[in-house]
Amino acid sequence: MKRVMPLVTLERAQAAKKTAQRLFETVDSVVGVGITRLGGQYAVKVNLSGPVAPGTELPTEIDGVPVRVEVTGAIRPR
Amino acid sequence: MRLESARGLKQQLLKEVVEPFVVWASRLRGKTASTAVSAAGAESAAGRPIAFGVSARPLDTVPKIPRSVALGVARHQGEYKLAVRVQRPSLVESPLMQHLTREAKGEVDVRIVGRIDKRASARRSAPSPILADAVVIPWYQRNTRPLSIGASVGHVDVTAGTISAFVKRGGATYLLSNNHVLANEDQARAGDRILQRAKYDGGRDPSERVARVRFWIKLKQTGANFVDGALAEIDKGIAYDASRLRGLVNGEDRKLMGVGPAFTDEGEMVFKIGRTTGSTGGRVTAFDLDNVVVNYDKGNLRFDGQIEIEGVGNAAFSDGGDSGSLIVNARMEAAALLFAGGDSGGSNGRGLTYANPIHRVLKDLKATLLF
Repeated sequence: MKRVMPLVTLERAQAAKKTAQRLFETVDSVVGVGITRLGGQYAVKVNLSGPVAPGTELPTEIDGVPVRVEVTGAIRPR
Repeated sequence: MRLESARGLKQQLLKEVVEPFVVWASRLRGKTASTAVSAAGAESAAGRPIAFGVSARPLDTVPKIPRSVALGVARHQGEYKLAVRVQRPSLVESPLMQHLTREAKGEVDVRIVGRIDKRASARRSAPSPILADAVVIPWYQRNTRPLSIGASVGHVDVTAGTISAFVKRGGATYLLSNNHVLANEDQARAGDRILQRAKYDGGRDPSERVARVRFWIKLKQTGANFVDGALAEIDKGIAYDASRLRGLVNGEDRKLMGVGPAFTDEGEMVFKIGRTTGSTGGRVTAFDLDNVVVNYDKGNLRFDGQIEIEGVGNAAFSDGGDSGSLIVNARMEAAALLFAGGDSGGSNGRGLTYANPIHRVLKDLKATLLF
């Protein structure tokens, strides 16, 4: 039977973001952890300055909140 | 080709090829020569237009490069050709030249003219007449009075950034922009001069002085920053327009309507006017963004609570020099202060822009927005 996921509220996404910050603390290339939306629901966004080392597993979901990882490159003052 | 065709082609190439090339060249300053050569091929092969930009940074870190290519129209046995004047022999075989030749279907008149001096004697004038040669400089890179939201501005030792907005603090009126634009990443001293237009755009000191930097939020090297912001007190007798958003939407003016809500959601449409890319539209892609690591000249600094924006269509939302731009929502209310960006990511692949929420900016700088 298909599991029905409860709606991701902003509060749940905020809580998952905190967990994501801890989980990604050791990944050197993290240049941002925030809130975005995926398919209309809130999600966690993790920005990386470059691709992670081969073999590194990144979570796609934290406590039922989807995680979107994007390589944004280095960020400079404009 | 006919005169009109040659003129039209010249204008088109000037805008699409030569200006981006000059920017491209200026961006490569500081990189090694071999990087420069390979990047030249890659950029022109990809055909990506590159905005006319330089990041707001200390002037002494930007080596000067000579102007290198000029376009015009040359007469050739009753026919007209695209006239290309290059200052270095190496440019004759460059990807840029190959592109120009291809676009003009071979009807080009190429000359190496060497360095052109203001005081060059008549003897050294161009070998064939060039009928027209003008590069249009947009208003936001010019001397703009009254001072306007979106115009070029900077500390005397900084390249160029953007006027965000006008604010009150105590009894005085200030212009708002970034610390790294007005206070040179904490290197400034209170009272230092601010130029409009900025030095990089030809701003002259003292004739284009408009303000003195007074307050800024120090950029911390440990722990989280929230705001890259500074205030410069506007000199007596310098007029400003706190409400006009010049050419913001489809080239039409809008009026600033005040400060927007504290919460900015993903998906919201936003707009800005900046010194480099002018007016652009964007979409918020993330908010409450923490651990944003930004490579300042003084080191990697961390920012928390930031907003992330991508450009709409095929354009980037911002480029170097747009720092300080005021970001407004669809109701024309102030939402954020643009300060950083990267060249990768976003659904169009043109990079992402980062901004400080305006509520935090105004609170930390003890300022009230004028509009």
